Amino acid sequence: MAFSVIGFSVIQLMGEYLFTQRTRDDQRIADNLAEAFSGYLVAFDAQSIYDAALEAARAQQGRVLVLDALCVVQVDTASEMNGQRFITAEIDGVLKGSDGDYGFYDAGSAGNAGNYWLRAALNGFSGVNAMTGLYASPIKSGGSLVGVVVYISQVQEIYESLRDIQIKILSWMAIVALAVLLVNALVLRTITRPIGELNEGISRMSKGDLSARVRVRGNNEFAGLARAFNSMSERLEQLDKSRSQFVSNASHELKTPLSTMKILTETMVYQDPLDPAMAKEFLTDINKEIDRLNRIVSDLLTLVNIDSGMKLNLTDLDIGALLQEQVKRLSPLARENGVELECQAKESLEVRGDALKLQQVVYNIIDNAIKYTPRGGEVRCALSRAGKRAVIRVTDTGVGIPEEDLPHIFDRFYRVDKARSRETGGTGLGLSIVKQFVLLHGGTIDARSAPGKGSTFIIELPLAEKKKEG
Amino acid sequence: MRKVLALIALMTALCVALGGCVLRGPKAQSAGEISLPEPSDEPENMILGESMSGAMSEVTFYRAAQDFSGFTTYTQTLRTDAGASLAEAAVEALLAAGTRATSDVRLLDFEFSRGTATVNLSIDAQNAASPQELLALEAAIGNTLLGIDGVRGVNVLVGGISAGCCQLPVGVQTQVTQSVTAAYAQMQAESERLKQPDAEPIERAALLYFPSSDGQWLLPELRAVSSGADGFASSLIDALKLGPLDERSAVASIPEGAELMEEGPVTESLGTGERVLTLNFSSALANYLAFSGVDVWQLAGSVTLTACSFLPELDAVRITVNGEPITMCAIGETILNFPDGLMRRRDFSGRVGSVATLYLLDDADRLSAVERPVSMRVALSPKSLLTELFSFTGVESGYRLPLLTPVYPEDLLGVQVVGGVARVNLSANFYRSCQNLSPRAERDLIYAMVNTLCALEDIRAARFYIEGRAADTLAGSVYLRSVLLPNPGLVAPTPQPTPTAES
Repeated sequence: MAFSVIGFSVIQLMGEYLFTQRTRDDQRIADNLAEAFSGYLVAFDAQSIYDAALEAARAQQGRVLVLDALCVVQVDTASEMNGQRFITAEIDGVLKGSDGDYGFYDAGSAGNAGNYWLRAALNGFSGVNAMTGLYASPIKSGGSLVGVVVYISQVQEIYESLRDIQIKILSWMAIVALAVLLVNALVLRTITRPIGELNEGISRMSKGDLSARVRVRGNNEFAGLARAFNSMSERLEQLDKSRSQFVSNASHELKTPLSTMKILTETMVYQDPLDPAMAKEFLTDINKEIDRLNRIVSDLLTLVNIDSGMKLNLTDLDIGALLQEQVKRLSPLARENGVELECQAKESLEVRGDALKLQQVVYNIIDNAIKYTPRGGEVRCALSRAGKRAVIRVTDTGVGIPEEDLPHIFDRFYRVDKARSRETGGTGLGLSIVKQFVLLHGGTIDARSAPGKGSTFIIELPLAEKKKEG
Repeated sequence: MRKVLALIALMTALCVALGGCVLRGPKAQSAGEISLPEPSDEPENMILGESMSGAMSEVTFYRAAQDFSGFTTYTQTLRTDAGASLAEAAVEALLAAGTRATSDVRLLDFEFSRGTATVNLSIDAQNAASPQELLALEAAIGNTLLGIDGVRGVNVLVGGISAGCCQLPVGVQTQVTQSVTAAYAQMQAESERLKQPDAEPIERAALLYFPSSDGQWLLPELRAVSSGADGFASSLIDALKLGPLDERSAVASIPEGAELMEEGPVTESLGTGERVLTLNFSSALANYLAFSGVDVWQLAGSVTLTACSFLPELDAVRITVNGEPITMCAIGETILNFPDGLMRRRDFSGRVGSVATLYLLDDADRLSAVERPVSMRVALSPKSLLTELFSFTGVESGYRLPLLTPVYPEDLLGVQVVGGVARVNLSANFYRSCQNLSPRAERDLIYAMVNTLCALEDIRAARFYIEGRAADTLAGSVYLRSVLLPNPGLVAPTPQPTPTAES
């Protein structure tokens, strides 16, 4: 649009300049002729007027008419209108006292208008059949108007030049406009459409439809945004599912001990008379369920803390010593379960971590290994270095984990053998907490297992960076 | 997509609208209804006959200084009346002013034809105290007339013969003489030089008279001639034999094949003191004349006028055929007798005609300037010229006016020349004859009349009336309530006469 305005403004200015210049030139010619003809016209010297008019007309490729005060053409360089009366608005203006007037005429329009003599005057010189300029200048003698000089010039060539320029500019404008529109369409297609789809997806999500996805087109920023949105929505959907699952699992886990306690309590309430031995047994069971409930709540709180951005109390600690310490703590349990517990942590490796959290990690893994290893089995703990990482391997000869359960063993409330887990006092949150602690330390945890042959848990933690001496 | 298409359409429309605005450029005027100025009412002006009033012209007169070293000039406004030319009036005024040499001199005759004036002074001019004084009088007349528009040459005669100077012809004066003393000294030197054997010829401007193409008149033509071994006589005859340069209006007077006998032109003085030029043709002259269509009077008049207007102190011409002089000839029903075969200038001066320029349509329907031989009176009379013009109505081919219905001299009621404007009063019959003319035919008819009238020296514009009343138009096209200037651009170019070595 701006291009159009500039283009047309330039053409307008050019046109105005050219026409103004032509008007000035014609005015000068007509005024000079009027001055020269004054004496001739008074003396009725037609030959001198004709010769001078013809010379001027030929020099400028125009046409000169000399009218008397009654608008009768007395001299016509085309010798066609002599004796005719001829008037235009410009001549009329001169007759009424103007010092000269200029007008542009379209010869075709003049013809259509039915003004025969105007058309004859405008078409009088060869090659001109469109726009012409007409300048009227008064011929005065002794202060009185004795005639009018009408100078008719071609301005068609100016029009044609301007038209050529305009056609070129119009063509370019059309091309540019088309290109701009195509680019706009393309941009609209690549920007607004993905944004619209994204908006629609967000709208669906805001209404609770977390399955909303947007179509990913191309490989630009909008495609990236769409992918991010899809990823986010997938994650949200997964979280929503996890949350539902978690709530469901948590409710279930919390409800189980409560139900047990209710049954035991009701039994005692409706037991009449109450057997003290049985009451003691029931109360003991209730106490166990309360402990279990307490552990579940405690684990849930731990996970909540982790999810809320738990802060670690980081120190440089000897992970080998930590491992040996936990092995030592669990040795009584291993002996009680008839499981041989070994630890090979000769190398002293320092990691930067929260001692309590890492103790809980190592403790839980070894504890699980002991609990799920049958009597006579073995649990081996080993510490090694792999590059810049400390690798803790806890290998047992237990029942192992089915292949289909392996990807889920770190999920919250996921149990491979639910009955056995509860028997062993598990909450289903231990491995999940372990994994979260390891991740908080920048480490990884992995489990490899073959059913019936045992399992190996591998914990990798980044070694603490040694300070340069000196 | 619809929005995009709509946007494209909108932008295209905007471009076209903007383009249209600019393409229009400056605002074009429309030929609106604008009222034309109306002339003031005129009283009826019934012009009858021919009259010329108020033709006032300024003329610069020359008067020779006492010692003939130069001229003093003075300007006088002259009034010319109908039938008189300004040049003639100027000669009259110059002679009336009087000097020692011109105190008794009268203008006997004045011929003006084709731009040259022949002034015939009374014999009193011979009373001048010296040849130099007579030369001064001739130069004063010549200088004065050459200052008048349309005069290109002046030939001065005294008592019907060329006075000459130092036995040489003065010839036709075509340039202003600055000093009589110098001119006279040159004449003397030339006269002495011609007496020497093998002298270089001298040149003079002479008027050669040729028969008009219609056989009615003898038309002068200005021509340069050189002196031969026997003076200018042979050169004049040779120039006449060549015929006129402009063959549109004149023909040769001496037919091809007509030769002089061996002795050639002979100039002799008779016992009466008259000088006579004798031309002796062979006996075959009559046959050649008959073959070429030239009458005897045309031959005789052409030779007599030419020789007597130029050769100094030549009183008469005698033409003989095989020694026998021609003593009579007929001009129509008029018989001219020449006692002793002596033909004088006055015998033919009444047959000196002129050429009028009439504007007529040619076969290509273009307005052309046509030269027609006419009497000198007709050539100076606007009414006579229009009457001549009207004789070309009712003609379908050749030179003509675009009026198929003939109009007659009586349809031209009158012409009055006032202040350079010829007021032409036409009859109602003429007006009726023009009613069915096309715009072009009307224009051609009007400008045929205007251009013809304006070919006269005293007329620069024309105005037309019908039965003494102003009329808007004849047939609806050319406005007649205003004077009309001639239209030179409407006239087809006229082929110019081919100059010859002699000229």
